[in-house]
Amino acid sequence: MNRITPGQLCAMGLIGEIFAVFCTEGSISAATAAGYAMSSGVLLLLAMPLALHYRRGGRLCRGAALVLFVWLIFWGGRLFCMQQRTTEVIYIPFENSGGLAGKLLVTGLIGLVCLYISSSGVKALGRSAVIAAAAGTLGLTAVAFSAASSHEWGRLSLEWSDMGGELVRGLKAGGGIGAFAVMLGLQRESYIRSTAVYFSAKSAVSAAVLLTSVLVAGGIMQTAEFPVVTAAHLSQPFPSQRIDSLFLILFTVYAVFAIAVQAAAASYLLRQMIPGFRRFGSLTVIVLMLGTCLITM
Amino acid sequence: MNGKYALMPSLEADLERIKLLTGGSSDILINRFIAGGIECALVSCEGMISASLITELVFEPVTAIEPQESADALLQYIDRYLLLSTDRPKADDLETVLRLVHSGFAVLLAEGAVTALGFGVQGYASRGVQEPAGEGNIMGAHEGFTETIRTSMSQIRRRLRTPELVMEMMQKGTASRTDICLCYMKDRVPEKLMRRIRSSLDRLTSEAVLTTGYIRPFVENGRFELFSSTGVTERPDVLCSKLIEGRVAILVDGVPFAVIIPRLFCESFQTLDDYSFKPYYATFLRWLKYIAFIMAILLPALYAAIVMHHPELFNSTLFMLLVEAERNAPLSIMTESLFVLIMYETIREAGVRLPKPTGGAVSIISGLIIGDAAVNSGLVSTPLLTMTALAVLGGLVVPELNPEMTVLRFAFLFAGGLMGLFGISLLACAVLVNICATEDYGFPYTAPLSPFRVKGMGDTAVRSSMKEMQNRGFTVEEYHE
Repeated sequence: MNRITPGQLCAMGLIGEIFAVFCTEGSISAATAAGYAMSSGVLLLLAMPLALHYRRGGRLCRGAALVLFVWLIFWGGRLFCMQQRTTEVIYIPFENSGGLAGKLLVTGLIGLVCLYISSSGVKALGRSAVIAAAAGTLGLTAVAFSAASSHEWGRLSLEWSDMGGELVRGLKAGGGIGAFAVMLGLQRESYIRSTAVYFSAKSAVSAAVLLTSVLVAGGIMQTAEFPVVTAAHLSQPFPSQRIDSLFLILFTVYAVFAIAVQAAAASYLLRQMIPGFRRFGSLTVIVLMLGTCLITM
Repeated sequence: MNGKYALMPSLEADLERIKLLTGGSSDILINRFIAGGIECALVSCEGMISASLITELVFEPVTAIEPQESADALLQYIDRYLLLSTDRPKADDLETVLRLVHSGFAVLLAEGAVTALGFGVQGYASRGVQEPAGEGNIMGAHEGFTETIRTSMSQIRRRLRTPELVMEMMQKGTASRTDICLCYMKDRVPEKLMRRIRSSLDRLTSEAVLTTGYIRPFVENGRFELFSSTGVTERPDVLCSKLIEGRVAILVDGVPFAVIIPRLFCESFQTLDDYSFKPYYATFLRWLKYIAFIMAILLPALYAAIVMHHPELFNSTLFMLLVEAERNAPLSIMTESLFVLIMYETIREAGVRLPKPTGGAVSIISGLIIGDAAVNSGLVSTPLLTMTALAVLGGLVVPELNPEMTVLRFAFLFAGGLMGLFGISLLACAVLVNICATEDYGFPYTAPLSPFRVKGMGDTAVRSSMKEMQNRGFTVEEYHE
C-alpha cells in the first residue's frame, strides 16, 4: 500500500509551488508576495473540508476523481509550458542552440525522467522529494545569501490597490492543490494538521522567494520578464565568477519533481478509476500532459 | 519415504545399490568388517572424513563389541552405549545415507538392519581463520569468516552467547545440496519477517549455490535497483552488530561471506573502527566518506560539464589555467575523460584477475608507463587526470559501493558531457528516485534519511558517544514501513 508521511506530502507539494514561483512572469512587488500568501489562506479554506472528509474515513468519489484527474492533466501540461517558457532565459546546452528541436528535446527529456519517477510509485517519490526539497532549500539559501550584497530594502513598498489582482495571480499559480488533494488521501493520519502546515509553509516559502526577488531585481522590474530568474542572475557573490548554473540545477530538479508529482497523482487516480489501466498509467498521463502543453503553448 | 530407496535387510543388496547410485565413484569408500558377530560395512567419502578419527572412534571400539543377537541390537548398542560421536543421525533410505556420506559422515550399515547409523567424523581440508582481505579494520578483531559454515557459526556464537541467537540450518541447490544457515535473534526479529525470508528462500531451486550471489536475488526486491538492499560481510564482529540490531544473516557453506538482510544505504559508510575512535573523529571520517562518495560519482562529470558548457562557474585564474592545460589536448574533454576512466577500469580488472606477481607488474606498467606517457604526449591533460584520479580514489574510500559508483560515474559523465549541469540534474533525479524506491521486506534503503528518523541521525549524520548509544535499544524494525 502506498502510504506517505506528512513531511513527504509537504515536500512534494512545496517543490511544485516553488517551481511555479520560479516561473512567475511579469512585474512583481511586495504586493505579489502578500497576494501569494493570501491565496494560500484561501486555498487552505478550500482544502479543509476535504481534509475533514478524509479524517472521517471518506475517500474521493468517482466524479471527484475524474475532475481532479482532468485538473492534474491540465496543470501538468501547464507546468511543462511554464518550464519551456522559462528555459528561454536559462542557459541549457542544446536548448539554446537547437531552436524548437532543442526545446522539444529538453521537454522530452524532462518528460522521460518524470515518467520514470512517477512509475516508481508514490512512496519512492515522497522519499526522494524530501531529499530534493532539503537539497533545494540549501541551494535557495545559497542564492539568497548571494542576493544579500545586491538588495535594497527601499524596494519593499506595499501597494494595497494591487492586492486583488495579486490575490488572483497567487490563486492562478496554486494549481498544485489538485495533487495535494489526491496525495492527502494517501496519508495515514493528521489530515487537518498536514493541511494547515502545508499551506502555511507554502505561504511562507512563496513570500520569501518573491520578496528576495523584489529586493534584488526591484530596480529593473519593469524590464524583467521572469523576475525570479532575473533576481537569480543578479545574485552573484563573487566578482570574477558567476553562479547562474546553481539556479539551473535547482530549476531542473524542481521542474522534474513538480511535474512528476502531478503525473504520479494523475496516474494513481487513473488506476483507481480504471483498475485494468495499471501498466501504462504513467505513460498515458505524461503523454496527455505533453499533448496539453503542445496545444496550449 | 520413497520405497524405491528404502534400506533393505540385505547388506550386499544395499551396497550394490549404493555403487549403482554413485556410479562407482572412486571417492566412495566401503569398508567391510565383522562387529558383534554381524557383517557390517562403513560407507564414507574420501577427503571428507578424518581417517584417524574413524580408526580411533569407530573401527577400534566397534570391532571389539561382544556378539549381539541381531543387527538392530548391534546398532542400538552402538548408539546408546558406545557414543562414538556427538552427532549420530539415523538413516532408513539410501538418499539420506548418501547425503550423510557426502557431508562427511561415516555411515554404518549392518546385515539384516533396515536402518543405518551415521557418525560425524568430518575431517576435510579447510582454510583456517584469517584476517579478512576486503574489510580492513585497525582497532577491531582481525578474524574473518572461513569457507566452513560450522566454523563461521562458531565465530558468531562465540561473540553472542545468548539463547536468543537462533541458527537454522537448511540445504539449497538440487545438485550441490549446500548447507545454508539462517541466523537471527529471535527476540528482535518479528516471526512474520522470518516467514517471509524463509518463503523467499523456498523459491530458490537452482542446481547449485556456489556464492552469496546465488541467494541475494531471491531475498531482494525483484524490481530494477541500482543499489543492493542486502549486504555482505566477511567479518563476524560486523555480522554480530547487525544481528543485535535485529537483522537476519544467511551463511553459505563454502563462502566466507554472510548475507545481511536488510541493508541500509548509510551502513555502507560505517565501519567498526568508527566505534573505536572518539566520536568527533568518527563523525569527521563519516563525512569524509560521504564527500568521497559524491566525488567518486560526480567529479569527472562536473569537470566535463563545467569546462564544456558552464565555464562561467570558474574564476578567471582557474579558467585560464584549464584553458592552458586543455589547449594542446587532441581530444574533447568528454572523450579524454572516457579514455582515462576506461583505461583505469581495464587496469583495475587486470590487477584483480591476474596472479599476484603479474598484478604488481601491471600496476607498474599502468601507473608509471601508460599514465606518464599519456600526459607527456599531450593525449590527456593534467587537470583532467587529477580529477579522474581523485574520483577513483574517492570510490576506494567506500569499497562496498564501488561497482555502483563505477557505472554511475560513466553515466553521469555522459550526461554532463552532452548536456551540462542540466543533464547531471536530470540523471541525479532519476538516480535519487531509484535509490529511494529500493526497499526490502518493507525496510526503506534510504532510512533514516528518508523516511526521516531523528533517532537514527545519531549514527548517520554524526557518531554519538557510546554512552548515549548503549541505552537507545535500536533495532532496524524502527525503520519498517
